[in-house]
Amino acid sequence: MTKQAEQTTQVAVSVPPHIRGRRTTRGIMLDVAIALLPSAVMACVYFHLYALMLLLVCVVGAVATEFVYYFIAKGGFAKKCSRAGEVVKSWALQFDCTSIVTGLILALILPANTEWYEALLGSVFAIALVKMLFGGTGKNLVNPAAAGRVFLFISFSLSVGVLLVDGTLTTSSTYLSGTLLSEGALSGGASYQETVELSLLQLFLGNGVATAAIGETCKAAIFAGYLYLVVRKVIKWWQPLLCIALSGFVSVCLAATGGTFDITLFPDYCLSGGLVFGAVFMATDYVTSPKGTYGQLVYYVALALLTAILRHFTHIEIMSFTILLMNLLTPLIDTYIVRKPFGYKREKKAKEAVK
Amino acid sequence: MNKYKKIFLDGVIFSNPTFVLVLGTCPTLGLISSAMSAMSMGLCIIVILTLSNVLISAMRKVIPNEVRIPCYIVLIATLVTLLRMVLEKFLPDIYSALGGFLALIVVNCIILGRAEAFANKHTVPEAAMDGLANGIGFTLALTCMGIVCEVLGSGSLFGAKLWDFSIALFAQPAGSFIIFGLSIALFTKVMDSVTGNARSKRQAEEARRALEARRGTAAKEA
Amino acid sequence: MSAKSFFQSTAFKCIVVLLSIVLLCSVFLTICNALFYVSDDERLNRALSELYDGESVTTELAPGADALGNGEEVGRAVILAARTVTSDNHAGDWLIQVKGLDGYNGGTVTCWVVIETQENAVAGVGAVSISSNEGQSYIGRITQDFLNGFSENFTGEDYPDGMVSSGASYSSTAIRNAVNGALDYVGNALEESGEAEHE
Repeated sequence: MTKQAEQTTQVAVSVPPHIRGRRTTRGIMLDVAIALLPSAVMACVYFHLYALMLLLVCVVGAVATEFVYYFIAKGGFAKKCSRAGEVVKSWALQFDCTSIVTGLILALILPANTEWYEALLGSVFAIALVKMLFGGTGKNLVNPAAAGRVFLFISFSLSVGVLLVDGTLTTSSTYLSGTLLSEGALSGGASYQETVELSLLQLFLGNGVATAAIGETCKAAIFAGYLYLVVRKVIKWWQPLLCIALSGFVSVCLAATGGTFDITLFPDYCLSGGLVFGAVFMATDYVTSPKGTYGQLVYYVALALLTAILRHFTHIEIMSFTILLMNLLTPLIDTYIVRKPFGYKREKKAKEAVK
Repeated sequence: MNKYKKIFLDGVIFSNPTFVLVLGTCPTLGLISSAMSAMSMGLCIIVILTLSNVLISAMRKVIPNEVRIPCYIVLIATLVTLLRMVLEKFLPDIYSALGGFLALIVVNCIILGRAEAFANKHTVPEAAMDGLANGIGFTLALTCMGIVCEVLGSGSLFGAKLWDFSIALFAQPAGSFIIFGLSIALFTKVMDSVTGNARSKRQAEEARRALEARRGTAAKEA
Repeated sequence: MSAKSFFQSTAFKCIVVLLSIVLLCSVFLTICNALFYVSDDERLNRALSELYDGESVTTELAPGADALGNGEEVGRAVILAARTVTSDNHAGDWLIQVKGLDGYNGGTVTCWVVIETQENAVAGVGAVSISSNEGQSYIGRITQDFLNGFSENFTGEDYPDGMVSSGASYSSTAIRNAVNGALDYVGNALEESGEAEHE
């Protein structure tokens, strides 16, 4: 009897899930960072050192803020910094590149004439207040980059379109992204080309266009990033497309209230402003968008409608604000649009299986 | 004296109406974008709170329990109206700085809260002390937050411009909200570490004394 | 319930206590109101000390001002009172209390405007001070620079639409309307008195 009792079997006790896929947060974040690279490169091409400075300041600021917060919160300063080395090591181990991605996105939605300290403050606000205070990765209530952009917009009024001409930045208030369309001329039905002398190709490729964000100039680069993300299965292909197309369509309808219904304005409305960048990179964030498919449908439709309507009535870069609004509505959507529980089979199919 | 000291410390620190009880957030959020208006509101609250506590405590035997809320509101409204008249006559700058928030003191939760929780159960001197302490706690909290918000949001201190740099978010209620939340977090952390230290010191002291007492009895028996 | 038991019940006691408190408080407040009453003269003196930085200035009712009544509409403003300065310093200044329309949320801003005159013609705008407002939540955003801008940018014409204090554009519009209204009123009054003299 004693021998049997002594024969202990090794039982591994662990928390489900017991089978794990290969994807890690770090991997997904690196994919997003790679998708952002074309936009970053084109931003540097158009705005040279200003874009480079912004990218560096935002990314370094974001990572540093996360590190400092983690260090203080985990007691790096306790007991006269005796545990400092351990805390640093544990931070490096758990570092998923979310703050790098946040810094990149924030840099790419800022205008080129942002000062370095403004960008730094924005990334500190985005990481420390919006992400870390709420619990870190996966617990933020709203998209940190969008919140940082809104913070900078309110605090430092960064809404004017900026163009790099012969090495100096000139602000040009006629070229506010998204406002081009509500400047009255277009809502009356006149075409883009006549009023602001921008061809569609220029809008798409981004040269010669003054925008309110360095990463939103070249839509081709954003499109390349979108393709990469879809191929790597990071985002679903229909999410940004639905948002962009619906927003463009509603904008055309709204513009028709001032004049004739002109469907040829549709690509103009789709491609201007922060709509494309926001729809591809910021609205598709896992943490702040609903989890089920129907919920996501509601989310993107509402986002598109809100963007189109607000763009028509206010004349500012509205994408960050609408993304924030929809992020705040996401828990509501999740509560009321109940998604399928894991492993749930519909009863009909179960009955057939029984037969 | 010990009783009054306890009431005073409770009102100012341990049950601070802004940071611990989180009462009266309406003037807090509306007024801390400027340190001067924050301090003015705090001083008004001290006056009203002390007077209302004294009045309500003096009348606690007379007012029946069923009508106590209407009676308290009438008394507090009278005091606030009196304060408005006095301010408009003698200190018109403060009167216009506070604007509509002066009339809102009538429904400020701190005043009715302290009246309900303390003044109608304690004697007049104790109630006066409690009103004074809570008012001082409120004023200190508001002034500190007001200074932070004004320096960050307008680059000035009590109206005197310090520098040109300002983060406009903190001059608006949204920034006030953020500073309020962060202040509560900071206050709680500081209080926890201070009282935690005091508690562990007291426990260590008691343990030491118990040990010595045991040693003493053991030595006696030996 | 018999009458006697009613008079002994708590309901009666409640009513009595509440009514007596209300009565006492009302009497007290009435006395205080009489004590602390701020008269129009006192408000005028406060406005004067703010406009002239504490200098002592005497004023009297401007000619034609008793016809103002409840306020005369001039443009997008309502003139409430008009006085002329009679002391040696700032002689010839007109002090206009004017309510500017088109404020935030449809409200108004009431200001005191100093119009400087020379040889029976409008020569400039002096200080502008805000005396009260209706529903202007952002009145605190009006900077002293904006108010000083009226005297600095005087052109003789009405102030243009672009002149606003950022963050309080509607309240600035109301103040600008007030100043323009004051300018028009004084200009008209001087023309009329000039014509009357010539006749």
